[in-house]
Amino acid sequence: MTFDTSDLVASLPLLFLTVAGIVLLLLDAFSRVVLVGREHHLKLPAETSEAVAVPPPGSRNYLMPVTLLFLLGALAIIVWQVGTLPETSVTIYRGMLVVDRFGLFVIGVCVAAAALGIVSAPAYMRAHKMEFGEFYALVVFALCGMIILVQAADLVSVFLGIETMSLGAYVLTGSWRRSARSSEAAMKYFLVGAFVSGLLVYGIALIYGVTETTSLIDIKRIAMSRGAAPLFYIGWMLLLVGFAFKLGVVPFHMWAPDTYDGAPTPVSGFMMSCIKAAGFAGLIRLLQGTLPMLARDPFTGWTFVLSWLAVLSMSLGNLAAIKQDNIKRMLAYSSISHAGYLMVGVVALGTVGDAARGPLLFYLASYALTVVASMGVVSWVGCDERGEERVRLSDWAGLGKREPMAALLMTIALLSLGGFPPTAGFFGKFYLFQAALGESKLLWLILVAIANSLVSVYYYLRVITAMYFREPAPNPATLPIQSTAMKVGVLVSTLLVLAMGMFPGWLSALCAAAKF
Amino acid sequence: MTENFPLYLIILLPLLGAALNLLFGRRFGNTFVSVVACSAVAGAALVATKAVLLVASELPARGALVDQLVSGDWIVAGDFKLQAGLMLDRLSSVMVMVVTWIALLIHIYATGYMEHEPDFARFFGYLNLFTGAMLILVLGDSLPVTFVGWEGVGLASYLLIGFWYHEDKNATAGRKAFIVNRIGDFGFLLGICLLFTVVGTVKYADFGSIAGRLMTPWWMGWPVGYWIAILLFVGCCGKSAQIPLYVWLPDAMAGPTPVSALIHAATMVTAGVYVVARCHTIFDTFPEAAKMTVAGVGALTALFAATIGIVQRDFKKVLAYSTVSQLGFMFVGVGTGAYTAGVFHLMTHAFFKAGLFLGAGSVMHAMGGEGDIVKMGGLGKHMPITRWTFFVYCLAIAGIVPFAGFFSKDAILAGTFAAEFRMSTQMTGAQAHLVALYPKLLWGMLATAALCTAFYMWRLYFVVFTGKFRGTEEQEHHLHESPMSMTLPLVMLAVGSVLAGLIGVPAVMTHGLPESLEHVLTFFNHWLSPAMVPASPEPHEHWLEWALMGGALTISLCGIGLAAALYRGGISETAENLKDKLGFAHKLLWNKYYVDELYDFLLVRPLRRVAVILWKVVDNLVIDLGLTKIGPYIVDSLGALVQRFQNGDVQRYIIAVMVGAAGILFGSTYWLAYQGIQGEVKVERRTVTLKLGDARMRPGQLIYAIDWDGDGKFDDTNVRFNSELKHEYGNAGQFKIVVEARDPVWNMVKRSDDWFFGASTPLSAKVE
Repeated sequence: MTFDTSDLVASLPLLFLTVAGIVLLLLDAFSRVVLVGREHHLKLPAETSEAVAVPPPGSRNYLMPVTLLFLLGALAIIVWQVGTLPETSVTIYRGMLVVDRFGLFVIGVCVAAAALGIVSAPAYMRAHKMEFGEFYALVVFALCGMIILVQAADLVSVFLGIETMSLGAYVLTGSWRRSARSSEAAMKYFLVGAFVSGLLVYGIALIYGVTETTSLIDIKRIAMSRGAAPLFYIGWMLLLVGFAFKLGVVPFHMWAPDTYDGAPTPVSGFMMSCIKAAGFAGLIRLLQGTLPMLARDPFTGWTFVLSWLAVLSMSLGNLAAIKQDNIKRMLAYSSISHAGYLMVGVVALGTVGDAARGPLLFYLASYALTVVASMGVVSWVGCDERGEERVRLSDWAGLGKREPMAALLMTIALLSLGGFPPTAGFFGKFYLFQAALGESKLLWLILVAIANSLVSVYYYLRVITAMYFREPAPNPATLPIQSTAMKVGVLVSTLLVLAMGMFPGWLSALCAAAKF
Repeated sequence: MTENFPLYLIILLPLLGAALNLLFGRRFGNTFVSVVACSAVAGAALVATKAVLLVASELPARGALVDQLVSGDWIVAGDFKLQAGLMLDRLSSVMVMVVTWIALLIHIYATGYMEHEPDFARFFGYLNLFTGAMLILVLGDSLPVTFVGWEGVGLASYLLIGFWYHEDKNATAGRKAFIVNRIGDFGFLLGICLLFTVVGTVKYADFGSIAGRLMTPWWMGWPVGYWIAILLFVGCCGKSAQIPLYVWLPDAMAGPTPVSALIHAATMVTAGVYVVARCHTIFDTFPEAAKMTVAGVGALTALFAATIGIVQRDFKKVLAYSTVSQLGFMFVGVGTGAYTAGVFHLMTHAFFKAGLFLGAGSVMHAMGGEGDIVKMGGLGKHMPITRWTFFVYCLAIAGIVPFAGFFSKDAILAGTFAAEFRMSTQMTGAQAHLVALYPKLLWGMLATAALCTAFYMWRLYFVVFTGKFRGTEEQEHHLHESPMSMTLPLVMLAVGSVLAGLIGVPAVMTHGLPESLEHVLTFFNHWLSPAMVPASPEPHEHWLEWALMGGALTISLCGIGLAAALYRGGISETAENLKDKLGFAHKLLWNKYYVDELYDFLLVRPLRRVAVILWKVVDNLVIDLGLTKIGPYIVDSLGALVQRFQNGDVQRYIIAVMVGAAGILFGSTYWLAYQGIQGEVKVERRTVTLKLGDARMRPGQLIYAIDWDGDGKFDDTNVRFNSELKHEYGNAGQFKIVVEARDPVWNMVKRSDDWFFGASTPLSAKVE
């Protein structure tokens, strides 16, 4: 295995986005220099006495369209790559990355979700008086991390991917510097994340110690010939903990409500959709692509453990979501319960095999788009005159009258989260549960999942009831954000959610074709 | 033989029109709405005509134009794969032409009729929506696609019946239509499901080859085809207003008159007839009991509704019962195997019945919304165009030669008279006799219905248009002919009512004519059969056919004569006397045989009582008190518990991570030991074999200690796991076996007699 220039072509999406990120960073930096003379100081509300230098609103408006163009370009490259890909997967960079349809599909979903998410960022940042030019560069860099993670063929690249992705996410979470909640969220996420990274790297070290390699294929070969040693076993479990943390699976979820709630809304949407998709893809690749022996071996018990993680995530996520009065936090808990449903799919992968992968990918895609749509509406509903987000249920009362379009789109998104036809969420659950039913032993797990989705309907419908059937507060100080880009983004993602629910055939065919 | 054609345009245009009108119509005003609505339908009609001409000229008789709506599969669920596509063959051509062109005329008419309506845009939005859905129904290439349209027209019909929803009665009528239709739709859906499970296809294109599979015996000794046909027919009864589900149609007259003309006379209600013709393979399943049912229900409905029509006083109600009755004629046609005749009557009926309704609308427009015919009279001189077109329609529906209704009704009557139902070959003489007599009985019922039809239509004509005006002076002052937009469709439909019949003239009448003329005159007879549907039964002897024709004409003339005698120049005294003399019969008919009251007593009230019980007991007690109070309490406390751990303390988060990691390790090792103590015992005389764990377990992965005789002391210790462990017993008896498994890596120990997660089947051996 030597370095080959064709590797560069094979990893074009990654290279393209890396360059894009650097360009965006430079654009941002230079616009700052150019504007420094005209920079003026905005008076902040009375509570925060310090004055922060804020560039005039709108000075970096072009960053979002440029980013959008880059992301669409990346999407085009991905589509082109899928078309030209050979049937078998291609390993590049001396076995560090692997290019296959599975990876490209997930990357495509991530890039598309990011593109649909960032369009609401400029208006959001303007409304909340947070100009943060690095935003777009960080999103793009986090996407690079996701690509590495999804295409990883080596434990080193797994770690590299996770860390690149996470570093971007840490900073993005804290990017709303004036908001204490944002900073708190970033701090917590970072502290626990750093700790878990330690566990992760320790797990990798243990696996390396036992097998003397970090290449996933070699690990698989050695584990199959020698059998699993205890230390290998611990290493693998630590790896699982690392992933479970990034995915927000109970009991490694505790950062998630604080972080998703505190982070700027477009960032929450980005994290809930893209990081979840990339993380699950990485986990699937680890489990199914390289450790099928472990997958089929009941004595290592990972299906057993994962099914309990699934049950805990679904149940605790839903129970906590019911109690929430804050819609953003409710959606955060809902994302924990969705991680649980996805875990059911991962368990099905272990017991049913390849047949479950397509449905799992369908669920990932449908969830990612639905989250982007719902978080878009959360941004849309806007803030009060102090720049605080309006995310209380009482703030949303009567939204159906004030902002009928926002209410309608949110309704569709919520129905999709709850799994109602004719939305993507329905077929996501339907295909997933159907695939899992291929193994009768999983029936109990499916029943738990179905019971949970019934419970979840309660809190999704509660928002709909508030929007349509409750009288608006007498003094609606809410200022909805008026931004065409944001509205178009939300509309497009909602339409996709509907299209996937009405014509699920094409996507499920695409998912089924996304093989290793 | 199929060919691709952008058929989607035909349904897209009206749906686009609906979207435009419903979303923006209010903003842009009535002219915009009229133009959008009419041009959408006109566009659809033009594309449809182009497509039908292609079918007629380019394709063989069995050919069809197809269009895939969704690339790949539309719905995939297990074995069930469904493509969504459109198909235009000779049968759907007839429907598409009728639907698009008559819809266009009625759209134009409605622009005049509804001009003072404040909700103009909503009306035309719904009307376009209906047209689109109806076109999906007739163009669908499989039953599920047809069902999408089927439900779509049901929705549009509901919306339009209750269009003036401010009045409670209209909203109630809409609901009634919807609910009664739901009953039918349920049967229809079951029929589709049964067809798929047993036969494995729901595509019309495959229907040619399913006859054999339909013969599979299924329930009560009948072939499955019979049951599918009956279930589908239940749906048709709902949509096409046949006994026992016809009750919604007379009430549906609460909608605006153009709606009655388009939906409840010309197009939607004929969907059932179309489906029976489309699925004739299923209805033809031997023995033909399903067809006997269809024809019987049709004849009964035809007679039943026609008698009710005799005494009704509301203009539109008379027409509504007339529609129910005429639909019965069509069902007799398709039920006796005279598919061509049934579909032909569907087409001609669309012309004159749409015309009759539009005429009624024109009259009511002039009368300021008054619908009681007793308060009309002598309108002929005020509105000549309406009068003379109405005259033509009445001739057509009464079946006077050469108007449209004559030929189509004659085809049905002749087909019915000559029909033979193929039943079991092992019938006794009496049974065979009854089956042979059945078509004659149907013919008798239809002939009587035809007499009633001629009578009530001409009664209507005479009472409304001749004699003296019986309304108020103010009404008389306002009488006027309707505007061009309304009279033009009336005239065009009248022309259609004259000419439409002339393409389906029976063969006996065209003998000796020039060949080209004969070809035109018998065009419809060859259009559908034998390519699309089996040929209609025909009397063997020419004299019989002539006689039947003459008989039908005589019957119609009698009906007209009777009506003229009683009502010409106004309601005569004889008519009033007759009404008093036949008091009981009149009351029975006036109250529509008390069917609504009967349904109310048998179905509605008991259901309501059950609903009240459910509300009081289940809803108030179980749900409100039990579930919504106790359930949330439990969920709430659990949620609060979860929240207590989520107190924002980062140290706690990290502890959770550590506990989770430990839990994973514990759980998976526990699982290993747990699997290790699961097993079964095999006894072979004194040798007992213990099979533990799973075949995939590796030797030495667990270390066992085994107590073979249940005395609490381990007999064997440090046994390496192997797939089978053997023990030789010294004496006979029942022994309890206890196994202790130890995972040497983690020192996790598990005993088979643990109360918590122990061995799922207790281990013991009975040694002889």
